[in-house]
Amino acid sequence: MSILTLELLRRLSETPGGPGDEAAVRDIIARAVHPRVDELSIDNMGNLIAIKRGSGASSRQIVLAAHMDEVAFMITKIDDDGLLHVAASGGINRRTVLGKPVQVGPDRLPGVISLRPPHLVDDPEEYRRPPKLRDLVIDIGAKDGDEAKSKVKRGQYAVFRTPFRFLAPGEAPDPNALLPRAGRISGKAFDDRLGCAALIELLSGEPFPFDLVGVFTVQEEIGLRGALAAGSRLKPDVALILEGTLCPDLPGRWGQEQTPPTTRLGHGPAITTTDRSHITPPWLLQHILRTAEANGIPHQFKHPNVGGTDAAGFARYWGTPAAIISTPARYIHSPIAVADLADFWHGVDLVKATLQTLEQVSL
Amino acid sequence: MEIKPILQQLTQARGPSGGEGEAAKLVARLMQPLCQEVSIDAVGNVIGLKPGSGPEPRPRVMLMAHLDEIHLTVSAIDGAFLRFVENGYDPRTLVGAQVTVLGKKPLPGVIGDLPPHLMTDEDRKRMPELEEMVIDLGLTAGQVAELVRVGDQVVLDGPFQELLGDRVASKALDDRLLVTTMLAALDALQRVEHPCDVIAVASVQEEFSGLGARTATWGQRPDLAIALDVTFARQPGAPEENTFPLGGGPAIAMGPNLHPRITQTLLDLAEKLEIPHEVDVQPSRTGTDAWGIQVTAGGAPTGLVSIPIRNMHTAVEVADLKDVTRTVRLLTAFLAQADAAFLDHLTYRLPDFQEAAP
Repeated sequence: MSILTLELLRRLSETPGGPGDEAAVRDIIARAVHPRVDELSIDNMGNLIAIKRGSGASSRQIVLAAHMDEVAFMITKIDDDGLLHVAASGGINRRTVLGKPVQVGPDRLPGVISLRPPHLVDDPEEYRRPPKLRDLVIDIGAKDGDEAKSKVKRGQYAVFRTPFRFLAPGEAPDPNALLPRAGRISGKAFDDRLGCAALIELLSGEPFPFDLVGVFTVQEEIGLRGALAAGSRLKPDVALILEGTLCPDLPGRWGQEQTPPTTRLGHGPAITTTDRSHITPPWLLQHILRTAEANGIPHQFKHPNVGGTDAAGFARYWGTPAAIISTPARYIHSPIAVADLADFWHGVDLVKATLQTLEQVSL
Repeated sequence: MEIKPILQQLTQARGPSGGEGEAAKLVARLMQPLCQEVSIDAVGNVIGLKPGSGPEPRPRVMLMAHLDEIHLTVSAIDGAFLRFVENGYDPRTLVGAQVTVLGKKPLPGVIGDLPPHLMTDEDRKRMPELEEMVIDLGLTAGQVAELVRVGDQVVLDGPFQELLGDRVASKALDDRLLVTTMLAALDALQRVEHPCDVIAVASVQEEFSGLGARTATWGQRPDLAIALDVTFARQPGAPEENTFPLGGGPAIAMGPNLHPRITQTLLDLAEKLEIPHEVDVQPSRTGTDAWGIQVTAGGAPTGLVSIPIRNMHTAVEVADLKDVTRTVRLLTAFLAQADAAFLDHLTYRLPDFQEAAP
């Protein structure tokens, strides 16, 4: 039975969870899946592992994974004026950060990323260059360094403060009703809270023939760290990675041809053949594609050789066959993303159908 | 234990990444009287075990400092001269340097430069590129062909110099300074009760691939680990936010590569014992053995303690030995409290499902 609501998705999106600081997100997920799974634990890295025992018909163990962390800033210095200096934890798109609201530290203190008013910019080059991270400061309104230091500590995280929204068409649905199957949403951290939401949904349904191990991983954004740790301990037969992925399906510069986008919004879940760090085993890819076709589930290929995911982390130690099914999300690694709920649900359907027939495939 | 003579021996031993043998033998010999067993694993890590006094099963705490040093590799034999590639050295420091080529036997050599008299105006304005440099062994082409082959490793000669006060200069303070610190901590533990088993590892290939950290973690399965490395001391031109005062105490690293409660415990102990220290904010890859340890064999909770040095990755690295003594005190205090309850304290907890969500 489904438990996904717009409200749960809103909380997943809005909650801060920089790499290494996933506890708040993890708690929301743990509470959501707790009544629906047989075992729940947290490993040495902070990965949340949820086991749904199978019907007993299969001795296989299948991992589904989604990462909890999002790109974030870390406070490196608090200056005498009370401004916070930052470094990046994960690949933040620097072009999108100027003038954005953020939340700082465990108390989620409001702040803004400051910039000089245009009147005071004398070097025209400054408009053409993305800001360097070391030139950025966060203003929490502190009157001086002492006040700032009483509220914020070096090493704390800051993430964007972006309200989750249901976009057109029509009225926003009841947030506590089940998540609608159509409509578009905007918010932060869709990479990869959409994957987390899909995994919550998949763990909440009927058991599969095999043991399903849901791994909500940490630190994907700084190098697949949680997946490496979990993958070195678990030795699953197959791992499917649920992602929110790049979707630059935008018009190019006026009058110019656009390069083919990595994925397109509203064209179904994206299936990865190869990315920068992983090649999907052909037989597993075939199985997913046949499943999609047999069930009439819309789907698309993610443009090859773009991005990297936890699939490589799970494959690293034991050669676990791994594949990636993603919900396209525009503008990821920035303060805001846009996704299509139909893509999301078709992704959930595709993973479910893939798992249901996985028994027929010899590994 | 007297720090200086040990550090002198260790820094002067040759141990390029993958060719740590000479340094490894020396460390094993120095570890022997301080540990119950010392072994060298398949990749060359030197591993010492000092059992603790707590009830079994005792927590297994791994300390790790890397044995290897940055180096050059011979890429071609060009008559009487050697062409080379670098693995870590700042190429600007190579011209005018004295080196040892680890050929059939250790061979002294130099990397020279054109005399200024013969340079064009253009040449005077730029640093030579690696492709223009050669190692001169003072031998004939025939002798060179006999004694050296492509792939031979080269280390820079950087003598151990006692500077003013407690400061020293040498090659390979990165990371023999912390290997020395680790040995001094083992020595201090002879007189301090510690509940946990201490596994001291001098690791190989940190400067190359981090191989030693991963294999030692697979082999030893520590319950937690502290990586020990050098970090950047403040010096002209270096940014303030990720450098630390030389002689200002160890830098305790904080960030996703480290377990937050190990970091906090180290900070609390430093406060309590009034050990001067710095906080090293690391938003991502730390560039140390901690990176490999943390995710290997299911993942080990990891901490990182560093000592600031100047001129890192040159043959004249500078350190203040006061920082070694302070780091030894910090590590000893940490190990003395690392019992089963502390391990439990490191375990991540699920929320209390009886309570309403916040």
